[in-house]
Amino acid sequence: MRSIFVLLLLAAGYSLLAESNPAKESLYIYLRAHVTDHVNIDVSEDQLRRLLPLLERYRKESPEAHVSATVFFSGALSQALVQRNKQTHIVDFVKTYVQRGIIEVGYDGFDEPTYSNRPTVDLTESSTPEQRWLLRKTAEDSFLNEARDPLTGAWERGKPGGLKEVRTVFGEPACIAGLIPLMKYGPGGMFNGSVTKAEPGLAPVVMPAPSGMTYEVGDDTEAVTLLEAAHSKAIMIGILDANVAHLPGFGIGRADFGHAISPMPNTAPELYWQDNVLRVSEASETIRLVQAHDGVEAMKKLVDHAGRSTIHVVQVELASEQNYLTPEFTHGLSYPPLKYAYEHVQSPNLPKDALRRTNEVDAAYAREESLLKWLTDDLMPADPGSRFVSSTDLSAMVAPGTGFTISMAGLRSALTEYLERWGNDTFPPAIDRIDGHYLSMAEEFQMLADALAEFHRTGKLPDSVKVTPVYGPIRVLTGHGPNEGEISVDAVARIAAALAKELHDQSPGAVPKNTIPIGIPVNGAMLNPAQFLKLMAQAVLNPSPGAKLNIRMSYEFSGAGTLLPKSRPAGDSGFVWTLKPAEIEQRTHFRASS
Amino acid sequence: MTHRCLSILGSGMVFSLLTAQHVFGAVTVLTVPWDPCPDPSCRTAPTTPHTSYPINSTTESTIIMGATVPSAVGSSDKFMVDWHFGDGSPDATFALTNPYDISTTHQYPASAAVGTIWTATVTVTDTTTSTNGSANYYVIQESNDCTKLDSANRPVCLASRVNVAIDWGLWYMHQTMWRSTSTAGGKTVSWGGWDGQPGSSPCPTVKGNAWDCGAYGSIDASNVQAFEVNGHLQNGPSTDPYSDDVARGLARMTLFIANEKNLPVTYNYDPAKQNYTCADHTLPQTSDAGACTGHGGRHYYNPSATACTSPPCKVTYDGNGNGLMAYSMDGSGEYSYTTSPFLDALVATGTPNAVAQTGNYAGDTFATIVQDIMDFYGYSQYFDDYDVDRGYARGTNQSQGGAWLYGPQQGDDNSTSQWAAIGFISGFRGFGLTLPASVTDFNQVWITNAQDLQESAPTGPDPYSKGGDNLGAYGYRGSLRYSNAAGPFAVTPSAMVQMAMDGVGRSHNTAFGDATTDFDQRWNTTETYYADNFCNAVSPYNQVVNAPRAYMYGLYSFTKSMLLHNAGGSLAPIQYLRTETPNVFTGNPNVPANSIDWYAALSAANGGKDPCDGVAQTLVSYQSKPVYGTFDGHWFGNTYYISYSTQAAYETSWALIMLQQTVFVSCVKNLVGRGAPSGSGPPSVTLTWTNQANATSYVVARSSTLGGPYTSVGSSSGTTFVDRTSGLSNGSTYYYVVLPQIGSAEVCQSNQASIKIPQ
Repeated sequence: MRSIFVLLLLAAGYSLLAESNPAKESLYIYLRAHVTDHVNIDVSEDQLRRLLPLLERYRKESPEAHVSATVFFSGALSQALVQRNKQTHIVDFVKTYVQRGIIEVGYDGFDEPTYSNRPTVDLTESSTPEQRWLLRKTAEDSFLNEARDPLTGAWERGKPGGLKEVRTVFGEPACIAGLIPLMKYGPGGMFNGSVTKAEPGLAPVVMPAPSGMTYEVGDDTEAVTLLEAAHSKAIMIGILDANVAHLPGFGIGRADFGHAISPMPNTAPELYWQDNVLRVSEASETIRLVQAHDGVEAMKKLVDHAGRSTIHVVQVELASEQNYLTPEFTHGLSYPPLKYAYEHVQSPNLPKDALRRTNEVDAAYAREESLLKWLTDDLMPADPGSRFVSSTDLSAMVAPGTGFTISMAGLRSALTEYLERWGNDTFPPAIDRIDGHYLSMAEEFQMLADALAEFHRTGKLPDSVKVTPVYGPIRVLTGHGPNEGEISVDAVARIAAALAKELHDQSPGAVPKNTIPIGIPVNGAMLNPAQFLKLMAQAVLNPSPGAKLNIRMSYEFSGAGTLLPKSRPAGDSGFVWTLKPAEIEQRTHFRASS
Repeated sequence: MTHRCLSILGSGMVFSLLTAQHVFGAVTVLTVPWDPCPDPSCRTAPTTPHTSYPINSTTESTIIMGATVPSAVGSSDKFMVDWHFGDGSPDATFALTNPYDISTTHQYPASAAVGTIWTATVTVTDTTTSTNGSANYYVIQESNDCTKLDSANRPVCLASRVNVAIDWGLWYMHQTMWRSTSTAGGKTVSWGGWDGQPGSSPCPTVKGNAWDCGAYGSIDASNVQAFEVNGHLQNGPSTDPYSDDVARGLARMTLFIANEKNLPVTYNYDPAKQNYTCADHTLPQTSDAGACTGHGGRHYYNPSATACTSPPCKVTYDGNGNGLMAYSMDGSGEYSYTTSPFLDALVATGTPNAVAQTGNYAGDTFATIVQDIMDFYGYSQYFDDYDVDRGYARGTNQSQGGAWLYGPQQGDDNSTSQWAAIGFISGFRGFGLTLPASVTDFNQVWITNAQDLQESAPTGPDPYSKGGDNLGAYGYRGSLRYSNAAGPFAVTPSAMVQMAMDGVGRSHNTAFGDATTDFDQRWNTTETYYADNFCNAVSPYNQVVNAPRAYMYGLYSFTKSMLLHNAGGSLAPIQYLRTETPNVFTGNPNVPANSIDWYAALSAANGGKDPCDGVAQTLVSYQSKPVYGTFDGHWFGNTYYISYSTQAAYETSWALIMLQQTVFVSCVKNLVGRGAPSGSGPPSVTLTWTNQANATSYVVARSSTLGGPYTSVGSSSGTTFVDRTSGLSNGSTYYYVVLPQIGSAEVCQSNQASIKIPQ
């Protein structure tokens, strides 16, 4: 029963210890491949035909390493593969590998329908939180279910596509990525470009007129509710390696969020809970997405600089389409090939000079294989605990996000320190750990509301409280709320009792009902839920009905919530209430065959 | 911290007994002076001692005593160093290993009475030639009593702590400076620095590190500026070891200033018509093209702006007519960020007619370079405006016009823009150069458009739209609502620096006891936002995103904005940070209600009554318990976790500038006066002070309230003034400041003199 403060002290002690006896936490290697090019289909099929047998061979040669990869497909590619299955049996080929557990299926929506003509959240015409929620839900629904013209992105009414098509063709995805709509702030059809560091004077480097469009990254609560309704158990890709929305401060945010979300050695900067879905990031401060074709040295360099005071999850991209491309087509305006296709609708296939000769492709794959060999033969035997992990492995290894019970004694003990840390600060502590479980702010709110509801009914606090899934508020009040006035414990309990009922309502609706409330009216003032969370914590610690509690200002964003890179406006980012570390509970170690 | 004179007067000691630093013998020994008196008018003043103070009844602070032996540089002789401390303790003796560093540390007796003066002597003997030389190092026992307040209403203990911190920090920079002789532009030049650019040498280390050394050339400018604002100049006394450091640093840093032919910038909008919000203070919406229908129509903040009444307007910034603009080529590639530190360091020399030794500007005056840098920032300001009348939501992106980004005309970024703003302010106030109205007119548009407001009541049923938003906050590339990367505390104070440039400052508000509330609340809301968060704990879970005082970069811009606050064109530094939110600052009866002395506040843990430490004690604490390394005088790592942050190397210089409470000039510190009651005439107050370099006149201002605001009561072309204006009465206390002027620009604000007129 320790709060995060104690844990931080322990972590500090841990690092001091590490200086004299360097602790070396595990590296988990997450192998993955993206096969999403439905235009240059020969390349896509070749990716699969080279990669899958390679994985199988390594799985057989090093069974203790648990070699497995998540292969991400798009809906358009799945359709294209189905169409050529009669000739090449490529779908059947892939399925046998899925069935044998050599690969897991993933869905990535980033490359479809097109980069600029894709589901769009038009914020210029929306005003209420519910309207914005529904706009986003509609956009996410398009990714998950609708077919689009594979080159223009035009909606093909009545036809299935996206995640639904991948499901139909290959089965239930274990990991989902790329549910990234466009967000529209103004007129125009292109999205913002990156800011380059221009040379002064030579010529004015003028930014083009802004389009008012940007990719919406960082949060996807509306999609999560759709996936939940479809009973998905998939994990999701967290923070991307690339700054696709051109967010300022992306690198700092990514790095510092990783620190904030991994307070203990058995938590990884790349692994966290958001909206009750496990997320695995491509990058953190020291970890970047590894391209396998860069070979062993690139991986060694990353391992050397990883920092091993916590577990890390390293994503390794196999069978990249870059293996097939000449240097001019592996970066810049001509990359990826689908971008070329979308911009050359009349002749979308890559020109011949874009493709490498077979021996060059072979060389790229040889570098990838050398990396796999180094990982299995050198790194893992020398680094006990490090291993490959699949999406399903990660799900199984982390402690459950919800569904557990917290004892009242444990809760009250932790709350004392929680409030001590909060003090008079205007921001809430990010996370709490009670009875051996990490809790998000949303979960803490739900748990305290339940406890006080019982107190309101019976005059006594319950012996324990169950933690259940809740979403953040659909509108964040970004101000700190009032900083004067008082409220009795009895009144707090009465309000909490009313809120608790809603927090458990999982019945269908346009927007979910089990969300943290947007605001809580108290004595004519509107408190934000962070303020009320603090009052509830104080009430549980001092359950005297007549006791008076001071109302203090507080914002809703914790440090972790602020740091996570996101392009969605702060007022719509209620998901930050649901962030918390993912604790690795079951560690299975690599054992070298003797 | 410059309370020295007052402390000395209070101690009753007669300092004229002290002689100036002695250098005698064949071996030249230099000791660091506390106050080198760089201005010729004070060269005859006695040398002022360094501070030591008792931490408690048994433990004295450990002080650093810096000294050098320039005559030993390059010598193959053997030398021995002997420090005689003058307090009866044994001498410290050691062999010389580095002629640039014969420093020692010492703890004087904690039991010594306040005001006790020790004369330490460092003697260096050339054992090869049997010659020697000595120099004195003066130390005074100062008070660590936090219950006593000085004339500025600040705990006297703070001055002691700050003085010792400054001594340590400046000496650390001296220790880590690399020095060499090189050829630049065909001339031999003795230079030095802290950069890692071509032509540099490795920085000497202290305890294995040189935390204030960085990769880029702008670190030289920043470190030089820190010496300068603490009174150590390139043309300072030759007996001051830091004079050579500054001269070397200036020679090195000008190498990194490039120039190009001037180019025009074309502005595409009229700032008079784009600088607005709705008359009910709500956010203009795209739904009515910003007409604020149903919200009282538009309220224009700057309707008389004349910068571009018929757009497009083509402007060529070339204040000195040489056809050039100058910018940093320090290796970082971040031109807008790294150019103004060079400008600040040049202005801080106080010598506009001095001549650069190296680089493209070798042979040109500092004033020429400074003007060309201002021309660069003028050219670089983003020229267009994409706001609600063109269909874009306000505050959404980096192209809303009027600010700066990495390179010329790329867009708007609040972090970058503070550097442009401070550059303009420095050139204007420090060298008396013109601050173009177009720069401030267009920047005001950005300041308005990027500020978070409460959202307008929507057409739909959003009952929470007035539940309170981040009123007054700023984000990186727009409002905080749309651009909240890495939190608001790097960029909100940056916007305050821009406001200080634009003349947007405190205004009337009934929340502060004023009779009325002005429409323009832009500064007040932003100050309130920062104030509400000021005391957030510096703790592992908060980090820099949630705790303003945890982040040196933001703290530096905040300090600049407080010192350079400018309400409607008059320099009016702020002592007490205030907030409209009730019950934020409580506990200290010695400060105005619900406010905090942002610089001098002391928490209970450090002996005060404030809810948290102000900037000074925060910096003192950071130095004494460094994030990286052990205590040796540096600051490093009070930034993001991110290990490769390039900002951290600049922290030592930023801290030293903040502790001195100035940005680009060391201001008049010794304003004193006496009152005379009415007799044959009305009551009067006679004021005297010492000369401010380059000042052409002095505005004298008075307040009946501690800390101001002050009202001008006249001006003087000399260094005395007699106030016989109305409003003085026998038995009352008045608070005076003087503001040296260069032309029409106020350079800075002096110390506050508290004067009681006898009955």
